[in-house]
Amino acid sequence: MDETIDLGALRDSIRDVLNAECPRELIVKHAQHNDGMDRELWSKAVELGWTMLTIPEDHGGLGLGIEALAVLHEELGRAAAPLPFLSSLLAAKAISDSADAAICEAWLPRLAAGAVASLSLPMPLGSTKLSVNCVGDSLVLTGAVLNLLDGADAEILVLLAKDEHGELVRVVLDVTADGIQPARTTLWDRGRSLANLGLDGLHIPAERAWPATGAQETALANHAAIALAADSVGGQAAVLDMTIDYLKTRQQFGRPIGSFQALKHRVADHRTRFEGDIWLLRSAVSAVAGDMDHRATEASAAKALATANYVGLGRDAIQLHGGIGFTAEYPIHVFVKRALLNEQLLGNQAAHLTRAVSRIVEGAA
Amino acid sequence: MTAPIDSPLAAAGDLDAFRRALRGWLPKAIPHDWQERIRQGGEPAYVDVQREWYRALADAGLATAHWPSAWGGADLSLDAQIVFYSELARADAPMAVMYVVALYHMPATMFAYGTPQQRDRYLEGVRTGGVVWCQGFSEPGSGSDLASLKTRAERRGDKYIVNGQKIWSSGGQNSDFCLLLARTDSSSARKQDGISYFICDLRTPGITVRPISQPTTESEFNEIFFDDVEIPAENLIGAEGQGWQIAQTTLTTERGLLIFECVERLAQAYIRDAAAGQDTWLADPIVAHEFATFYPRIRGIQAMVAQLLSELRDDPHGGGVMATYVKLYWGPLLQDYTLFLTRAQGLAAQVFVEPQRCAGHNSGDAFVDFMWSYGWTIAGGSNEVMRNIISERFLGLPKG
Repeated sequence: MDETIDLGALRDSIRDVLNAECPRELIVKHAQHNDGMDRELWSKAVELGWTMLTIPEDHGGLGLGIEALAVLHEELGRAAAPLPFLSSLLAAKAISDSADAAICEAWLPRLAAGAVASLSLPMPLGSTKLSVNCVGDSLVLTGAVLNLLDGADAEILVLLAKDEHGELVRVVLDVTADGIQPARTTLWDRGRSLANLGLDGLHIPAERAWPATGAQETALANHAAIALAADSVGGQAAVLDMTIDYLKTRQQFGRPIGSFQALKHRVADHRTRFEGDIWLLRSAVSAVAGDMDHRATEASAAKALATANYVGLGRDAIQLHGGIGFTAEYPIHVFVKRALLNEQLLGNQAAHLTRAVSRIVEGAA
Repeated sequence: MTAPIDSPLAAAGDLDAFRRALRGWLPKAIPHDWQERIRQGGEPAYVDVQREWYRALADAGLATAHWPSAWGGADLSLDAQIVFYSELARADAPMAVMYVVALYHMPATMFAYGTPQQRDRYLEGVRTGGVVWCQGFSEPGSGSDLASLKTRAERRGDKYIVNGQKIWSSGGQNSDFCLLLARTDSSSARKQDGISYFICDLRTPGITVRPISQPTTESEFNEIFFDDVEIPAENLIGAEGQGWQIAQTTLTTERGLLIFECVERLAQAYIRDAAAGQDTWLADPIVAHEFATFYPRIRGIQAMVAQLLSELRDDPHGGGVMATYVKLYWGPLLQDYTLFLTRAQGLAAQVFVEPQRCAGHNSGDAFVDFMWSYGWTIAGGSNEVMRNIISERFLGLPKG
C-alpha cells in the first residue's frame, strides 16, 4: 500500500488542514485555557480519516505503514497540535499486532472511527505493576498503571500486565463499559496529559487479553520512538522558521538583529544539527519499514537525537526572541514545553541511548 | 582502459562481486606493516608507504577508476566508489592523503577548464607517473577572505613572473606540482575578477617550500615562497581573471566520497573504542553515558552523508547545500568525540606517542586525533565561514 501512496501529497494535505484549523493562535489559547486534547480539532481529524491511517484495511483503516505515520507525526509536531495521535495509533498498533482476529474486529473499527485510546509502554520494556489472574472465564486485574499518555481523554486503554506464571500479556479495557476512571495529571505541555489508574480486582472477559511477545513490545517501542522523533523534527522546523523570521524583522541599533554573527551563527548551528535529525529519522523509518536488523537501535538513536536537539533549539529560541519569547501570547513556549516532554515520553534519553548502543556496548540493554 | 586481470575492477559491474573482489585483493595489496613502518620511520617512511600504496592502487587501475574513460579512468559509478571507500575503511588501508589533490582537485579542474594539451600531460602524469600535486590558494593575509590574495603574476612575453607567498599547502614538501591562484590584475573593481589560475612546477627556480610544524610534531602543511618565479604562459588554466570561478570548481569537486571515508572510519572506530574501553573507562557509568550520546550523532552524520551521495548520484555537480551542512556537522562532531576520548582515557591518553600518519583522524591515539580534528574545523572553510554561508545564503539572514 505504501508504494501506491504519494507521501508528499499526504504531507501537503495534512499541513494545509493544520495551517487552517490549528494555527498558532489556537495552540496559544489552548495552552492558556485547556488541558489535554482539543476535541473539536480531533473531530475534524477524524472526519478527514487521519485516525484510519495505519489501521489495516480489513478493519476500517487505510493500512498505511511507518512512512505515512512519520509524515503525520512530523506535521502534527510542526503545528504542536493538541491531538492524541501518538497514544491512539500506538494502541491501534498493539491491537492489530495481536494477530487475534476477534480482538482486531472488536476494537480496530472503533479506533478507526475516532475513539481515543491510550497504551502503557514502560521503558525498559516489559516492566509492569499490573497483575492479571485467570478466574473462571474472567481475568482479574489488580495494580497500578502510571503515566498513561492521554489516558484521561481515552475511551480505550491497552495495558501491559503480568499473569500468574510471570508471562506478560496485553489487555484492552473500555473505560466506560468497565467503569474505570483514569485520574488526569496536568502537564506543562497542555496539548497532552498523563493519567494514573488503580485497579483493584477489575473483572474483564478472558477474550480481551493476548500474549505480549518481546517482538511485539519492541515493535511498539520502535513505533513510539519514530513518532516522537518525527514530532521533534516537525517541531524544530516550526521553531527554526519562527526564529529566523523574527531575526530578519526585529530591528535594534538600526538594523535587523539577524545580521549579528553572535545570533546568526547560533541559528546556523541549530539548523545544521537539525539536518542530522531529519536524515537519521528517514533512515530509521526505512529500517523499520524494511524490517532491518538495526531497526530498534536506529529508531532509538533517532528519538534520542531529535528530542535532545529539539530541547536545545527550543531553549535557545526563547533567548533569541528576547522578551517576546518569554510571554504566554507568543507561541514559542508551547513548542519548548512539547520538546521537553518529548524527551521524557515513552523512554527518556538514558533509556533510548542505552537501547541505541546495545549492539555495541556490552551490558547495555 | 581495461583492468588488469587480477584487479577488482574487473568485477566493478556488479557491486557485490566488486566488494568480494576488493576483500580478496586489499589484504594482499595494502603495504605490509604500514602502521609500524611509519611509526618507526617518520616522514620518509610515510612518503614511502604513500608511494607504495599509490603504485598498488594505480597498477590495479583503482587510483583513477573514478575518472572518465576518455582520460584513462574506468568511469567507475558512484555506487562502486562508495563500495571501494567503505572497503578501504573496513580493511584499515592507509588513506592516500598525499594524492588527494592529484586524484580529485587537479583532474576536476582540468576536465572543466584544461586545454587538450594540459589534460594529456597532467592527467597522464598522475595516472601512470604518480605525480604529486598540492594546492596553493591560501596566503598569510588571505585565509577565510581568500579573494583578497596578494601573490602577483605579471605577464612578460610568453611567461608570467610570480612573486608572493602561499600557506597551508597540505603535502607541499612532497609535491611535484601546485594548483596556484595569483593576482594578474590589481585594478579590477571586484577583487575576485583579478585572480588567475596556474599550473606551477614546484621545481622551478625561485620557489622555496618550507614545512610548518604542527602541535602533533608532524609537518603536514607548508609555506611556499615565490621569488621571481617564471611560469610559462601555457600553464594558465582558463582565461586571465577567470581564476576565482575555476577555483570554485576545484574546491567543490570532491564533496562526498572523502568525507564518506572519514565518517565510515569514525563509525568503525566507535565500535573499536567501545571494545577497547569496556574494562576501563567505559565501566564508569557517567563516562558510558557520555559515550552513548555520540552514537546518534555518528548515525546522524552517516545518514547525512548517504543523502549527500544520493544527491550527487542525481547530479554530480549538485549537493552544495548538503555538503556545507555535512562539513559543519562533521568537524565539531569529530572534535567533540576525540576530545571526549582523550579525557575518558585519563592519563593513558596523555602519554606521548609518535603520531600515526595517514590513518585518518581516528588513528586510535585519541590525543593526536583530537589535535588533528582542527584540520576539519579550520581548513577548507572554517566553522565560522560555514556558519556565515548557512545563515546568510541558505537561511536568508542579513549580512553583518
